[in-house]
Amino acid sequence: MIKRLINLNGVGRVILADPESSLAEVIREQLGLTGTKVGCGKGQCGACSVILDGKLVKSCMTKVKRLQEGSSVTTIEGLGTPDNLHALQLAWAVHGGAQCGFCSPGFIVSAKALLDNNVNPSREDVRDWFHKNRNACRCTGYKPLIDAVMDAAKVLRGEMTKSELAFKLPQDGKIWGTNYPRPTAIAKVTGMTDYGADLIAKMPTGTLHLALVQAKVSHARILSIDTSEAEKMPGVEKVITHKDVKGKNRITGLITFPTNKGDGWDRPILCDEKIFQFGDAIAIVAADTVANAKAAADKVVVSLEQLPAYMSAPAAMAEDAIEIHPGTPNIYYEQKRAKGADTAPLMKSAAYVVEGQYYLQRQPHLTMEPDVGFAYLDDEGTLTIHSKSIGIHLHHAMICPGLGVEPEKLRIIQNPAGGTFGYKFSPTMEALVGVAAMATNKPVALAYDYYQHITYTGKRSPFFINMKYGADKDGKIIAMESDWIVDHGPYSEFGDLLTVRGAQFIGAGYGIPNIRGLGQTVCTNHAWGSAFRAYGSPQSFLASESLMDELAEKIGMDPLELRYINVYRPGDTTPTGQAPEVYSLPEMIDKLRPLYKAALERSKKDSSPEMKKGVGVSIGIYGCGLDGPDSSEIWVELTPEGVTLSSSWEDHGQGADIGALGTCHEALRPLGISPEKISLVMNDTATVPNSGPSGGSRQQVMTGNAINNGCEMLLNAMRKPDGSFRTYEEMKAENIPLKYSGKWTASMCTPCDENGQGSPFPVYMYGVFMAEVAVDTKTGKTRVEKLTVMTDIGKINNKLAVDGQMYGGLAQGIGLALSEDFEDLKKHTSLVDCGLPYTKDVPDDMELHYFENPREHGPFGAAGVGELPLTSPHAAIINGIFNATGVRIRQTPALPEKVLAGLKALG
Amino acid sequence: MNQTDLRELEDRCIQECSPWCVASCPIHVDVRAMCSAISKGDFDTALATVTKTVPFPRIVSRICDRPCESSCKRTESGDSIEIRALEKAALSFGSSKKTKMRPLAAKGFRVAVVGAGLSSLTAAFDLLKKGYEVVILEGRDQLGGKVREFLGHGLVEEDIDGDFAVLQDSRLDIRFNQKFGVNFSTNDLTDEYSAIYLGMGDLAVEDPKLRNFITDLKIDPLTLSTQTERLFVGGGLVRPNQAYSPITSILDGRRAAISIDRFLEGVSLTASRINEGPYQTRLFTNTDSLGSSFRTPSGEHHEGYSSIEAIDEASRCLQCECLECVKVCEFLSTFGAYPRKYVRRIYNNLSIVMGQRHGNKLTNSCSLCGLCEEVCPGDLNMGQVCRSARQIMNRQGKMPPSAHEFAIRDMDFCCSEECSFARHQPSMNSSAYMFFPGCRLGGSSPKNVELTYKYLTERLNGGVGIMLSCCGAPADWAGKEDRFAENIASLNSHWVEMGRPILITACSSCHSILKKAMPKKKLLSLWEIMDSCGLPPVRDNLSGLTVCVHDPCASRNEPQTQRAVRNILLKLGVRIEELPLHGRFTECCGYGGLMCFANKDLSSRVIKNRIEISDNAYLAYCAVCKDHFLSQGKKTYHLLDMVFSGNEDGEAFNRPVNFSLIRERRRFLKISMLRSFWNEKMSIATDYDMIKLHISTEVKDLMTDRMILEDDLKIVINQTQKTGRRLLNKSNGHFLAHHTPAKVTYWVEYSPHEDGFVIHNAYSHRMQVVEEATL
Repeated sequence: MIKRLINLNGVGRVILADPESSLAEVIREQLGLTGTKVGCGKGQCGACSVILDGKLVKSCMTKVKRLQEGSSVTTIEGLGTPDNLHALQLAWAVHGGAQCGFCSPGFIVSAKALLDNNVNPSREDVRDWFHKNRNACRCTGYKPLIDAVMDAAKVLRGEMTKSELAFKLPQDGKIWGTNYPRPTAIAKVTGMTDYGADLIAKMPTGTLHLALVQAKVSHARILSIDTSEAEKMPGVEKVITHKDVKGKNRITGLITFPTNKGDGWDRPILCDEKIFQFGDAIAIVAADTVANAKAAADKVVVSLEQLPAYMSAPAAMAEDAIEIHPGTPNIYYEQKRAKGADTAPLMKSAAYVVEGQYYLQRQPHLTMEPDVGFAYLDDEGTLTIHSKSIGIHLHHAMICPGLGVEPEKLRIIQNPAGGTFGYKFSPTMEALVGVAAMATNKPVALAYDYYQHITYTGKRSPFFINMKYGADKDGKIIAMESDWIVDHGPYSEFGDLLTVRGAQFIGAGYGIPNIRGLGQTVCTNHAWGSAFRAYGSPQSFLASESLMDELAEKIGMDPLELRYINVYRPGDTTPTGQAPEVYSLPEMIDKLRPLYKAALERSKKDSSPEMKKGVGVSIGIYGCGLDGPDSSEIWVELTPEGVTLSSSWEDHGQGADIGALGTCHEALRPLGISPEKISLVMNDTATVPNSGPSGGSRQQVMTGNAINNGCEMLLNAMRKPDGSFRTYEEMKAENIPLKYSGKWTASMCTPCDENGQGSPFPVYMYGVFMAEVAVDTKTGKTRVEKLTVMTDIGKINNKLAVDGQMYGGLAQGIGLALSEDFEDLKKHTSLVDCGLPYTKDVPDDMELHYFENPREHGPFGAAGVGELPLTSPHAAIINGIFNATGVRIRQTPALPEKVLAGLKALG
Repeated sequence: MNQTDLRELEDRCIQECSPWCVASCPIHVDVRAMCSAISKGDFDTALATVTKTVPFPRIVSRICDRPCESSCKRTESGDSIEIRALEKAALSFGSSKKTKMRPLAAKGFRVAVVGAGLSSLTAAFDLLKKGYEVVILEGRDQLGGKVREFLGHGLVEEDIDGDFAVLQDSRLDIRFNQKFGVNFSTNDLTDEYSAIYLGMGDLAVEDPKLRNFITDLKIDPLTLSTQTERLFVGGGLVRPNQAYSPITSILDGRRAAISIDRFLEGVSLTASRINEGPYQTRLFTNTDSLGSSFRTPSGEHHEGYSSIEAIDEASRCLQCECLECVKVCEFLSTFGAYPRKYVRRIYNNLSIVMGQRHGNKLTNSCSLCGLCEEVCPGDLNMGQVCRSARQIMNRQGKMPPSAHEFAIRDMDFCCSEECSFARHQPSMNSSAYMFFPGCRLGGSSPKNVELTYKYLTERLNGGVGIMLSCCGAPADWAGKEDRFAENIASLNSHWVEMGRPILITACSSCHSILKKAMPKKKLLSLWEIMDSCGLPPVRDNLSGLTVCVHDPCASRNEPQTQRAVRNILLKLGVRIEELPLHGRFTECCGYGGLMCFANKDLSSRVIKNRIEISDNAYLAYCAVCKDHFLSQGKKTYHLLDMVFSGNEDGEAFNRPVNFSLIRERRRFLKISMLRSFWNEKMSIATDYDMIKLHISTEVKDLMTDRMILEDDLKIVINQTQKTGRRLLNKSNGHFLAHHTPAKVTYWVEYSPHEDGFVIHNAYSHRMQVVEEATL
């Protein structure tokens, strides 16, 4: 134990602590300042940055014994308060720097350390600083953060006042289409948002901390689980195994198609008979402290018969592969695609035929916040689970029978989430803490460390795609063939749906009349397939947009012009036979054309044998919604204070708050109320209706429409004969109901049939991506120098949120193209090793152009946005590498060694 | 139903078991698929089928010892399919697409393969595919080993070269003139390599010391592992005195590669290795009506079949499969698959928490008749599966109410005071017997019930009581366990009150239900009694008449009843034509399991198929069967029609009865019997009973089709007259009214007429049994 008197945020504080504990631990848990976040715990994310004696340090890596008597420590709490924001905090909010907000305190403190030394940095100085100090952000693509620092510096230099910097409500009071900052931004930039781990730190004494006993092999039969030694360990309350699970001990994958050869009940909460993948949870130790729980978990003895592990789809498809789930074939779902005439004869007669094989890797989500959750029985005996769930009602249904709890006795609440990008479509944590709370009858908490987070949460499922285009002499594609194999890991959870995405998006964007193909979902022992932003489309477009360039090459045509003649025009239909709702691709290409020509010029001029430059383009499309008649429900209620909007528009960090607020405010515009009068009640199954999960860019469309519907009903109820509106008091006096349920169903949609034909989505998003890349021919390293994006996501609700989604999605596309992977269980276990892009891996030059074609079925003409920027920027980059070097990368990521090998092969 | 039950049920259906050729092939080449492709002239697919499994297809198609051909089902009548020759044809006429499967990532282990015969090269080939480095150590200076002895005997050098070309791989190192025991020892190998496969054949071992070493090896036949860690042995070495089998050598190499892979991965060598190598298949293929057929001769050239000849030969393949049940069941064939798949679909349907329930219709369409079990080699009874699934759906609250609602309401009516009663024989206080005619016989022909009762009281001593009620079959079929149990309890208490008499049933469904639900009761079928007690005097001469006997499905396991029926017919002088499916193998008339309510189209097809089998009139001894066949115009007698009247033009061939009429007749039966046997007058007065309806034949047909009763309309009109809630169509003066007495809303278009109402149209919101999404 050491004692130090330090100056913490300008105040003298005494610290009494174990010298070996980390500064982050002491600040957060002993001093209660949870504004400092712990992400990776390895000094790779910077969320824990604090200033120690004028120097920026990672508090998770700094032992408390390093503190001197009188040391000064500045944390986020030392900058500004909600009433009096520091210029950086204000700039962060105004520029949309806080999306999920988990990295914001660390970034802001880091920026302060920079500005303390250099109040007039260049953009490049700021980028260097963040890059060097490993401040990582997964949401924003860094550009808004640089903008924020530059503006804050202006304020600090006295060149701008804070009020000049702040957002100003337009004269008409309309916030739709503006840069109105999201309501949660202030709490995020001041470190006041309580994420899961912050809430755990604030739970009452007696809360049990959980540690998992996890599989260290990928496939095995469990012979026995011996918990006797672990039970004797200090502080242990209970060691929980499958025997303690009251229900079916399965998380149902909710099979969506009758032809699925599995039954969706393949995923144990706690393994009972078999281990299906590395990290599978076998037992949970509940103890008084995290350390005691972990120590006891090490003492659980699991005896196994190891089975052959199939770490990729081809391995699991081999003739001699055994069934991973006995009784269900490893290829458990097949989706045909058949549109128009048989393609075989067309391919024989086509003027040009190109064929290619592509593989898109198992992309990790790399959120800044590792997975976390807790559970307890509330005073009515309801099992209450808090987690990062982005589908609270969905997860309720998926885990309820497995836990063995009555549906009305299970409540799920979403905590503020430090990013999910889709991995929280899988309810793992929820089931684990639920089981533990039921088994111990006490509050329980579980926070993964970053190693667990990477190795034991779902990943983007790799696709192996073989595809073929046949084009006529003018380059018009007349036929497409595609076979795609989905490596979905051991759990079927939505694997069939993901496979259908292949049928929907391979070759999307082009009016191809004749299509044949087969998608297969394969069970393997690698990481289970989870939802990931743009679900199924990056895989699809890697193939169809790469092959497009290969076709252009074969014809001797410009890749952009080849696209131009093939993109959707009236009369064309999507691969599923649906007529697009707008035809924006030709105008987007028209707008891009001069920029593209200039970029080509630039790259030619700047290229050298050492640094080859090139330009690549691609098209990206995604649907908004879950297949078929997706629906949503909200409640809107007039209150004495204003209006309350209740929904389960779950937040990954994308801006559910501003999405709901912006839509509601626009719908209630006739009332003329200010945005602050609208209060949002969100994401608790006990208090909000089922708006469906936040995935597939569906919420702005589905829930947006439901909000509009509910608000219309409220307005109609409030409207007087003379057209003015009743007040709350008048409504009460006239006994008019105050609360309305707004609902919307995409009744115009039909799910895809056995041939992959249907009208699955009411609204689509369209994009054209252009990447300018530079390839170092010595190292093979590719740098993206500029991204230009033409996009049509309909009318824009909140410009700030939309820009933020675009930049962030593009940055993830760069990672997908060049560096990110989760393949090697030994190597790919940290942010750096998994290839997370840091500030300088993402260009500062990202140019966005919006084409706001209103959508008939979108609220106020809006579509969604989240998936679009990650549909195919990687394909543009891959095409750029080819344009620069002649090297065609068919298996992502385009790691330097692959590019180098390609260069070598070219000679 | 849990996963274990599911697996057990799935296992009973053998449709997916391998055909004999595939099972007997050591490496399980999919011969059936190959023959199918060739028969369609698709040699590319045939080739892909062969190369998927066979590492060296040119060699195999020349020298394989073909265990498949001797197991071929075709040999039961004629020659086996020329499988090897067809493989050859696939190679000659097919072209491969070369869809290169990505080789797996390098595993970082080096394996020694000693020898270069088929087993060694297969091991090497498979290990390379799995990502291993392989070193082949061969005593001679060329690849092939024993294969080369076939050169000039059907095999040419190009075949060997062509096949071994697949071994060109940077991870393979081939070293010739490396003799085991001369150039290297076991210790050398174990020192240098992660694993070793000895597959050099018996001839290669010249050194007696080594021979002893080999003899001392304890080789596990499943894994080919030995007591020496890392050492695996196969091929001719392990079968020194047996004839050379190229395909078995390939199996050895494959087996060893799997074992070596597992060994180096550190995983179980033995888990899940059943069905490696030849095995006995459980498949059943009916060859009863198989005509003989003989192999297609190959033309003048000696290079095997021409493509035309190959197509001919492949077309002789039986494409062995079972489908015994699907062949005899319209329900099973309608849904496009077979029980193994249905069981999974039904199970998945029950398991769905959220999402599309696509299996409701499937589950509710089965007649539960049990024919499938009779013909199934694995005794799988889909009826039991569907019935228990319906019970689970009811328990889960997931049964669409529309599925069986009408039938259950009908059953409630039969059990109600309006048409049920129990009495001792007039002027007696006890009953030795109790006649239980069932609800449908009375609904179809009240007269026959009365005549039968009279007959029984005349022929049997000790008193014959009667009970009019429903046995509860509709509830049982609908999977409504509570309702069924309640009904049985009620029947039982009446039976106890009556002094526990022997029950006489006229309906096979009642008989089987009572037999199952009241197992300790003494039950007799009416037909057995009639057969043994003698028939009443017959008015018409029936001799010369020929009928097809349709045994009701519920009589399937009642041979004595079926015999009695035939005896009665013989006594009546009627000639019998047996339908192909009769007796134990009879099929359902389309009513059982409430099929006609859940899936009307299917039920209609079932009836149609059944009545089209013979032009002769049918004889039924279940009132439903008779009514069903009549509904599609088939001349059908009920046995009681013949026994009591025998006439050809009377009641037997009236227009098919509609539901309202059935209901009327049931009500009438009670009134009439009470009056004529017990001299009691029954007054039933419901407040709607007095309403008089005028309904045209067209509307009556429509009502039958829509399952609407006259009573339903009376209730609606009665209700409307009271409340005045109705819509007036000014153009024609018709009223439109609706009412929802229970779950179904009825709509009536009517107008007042004289003393009652004219019905112009009627429809109901009885939803179809659609697949429902629950979100």
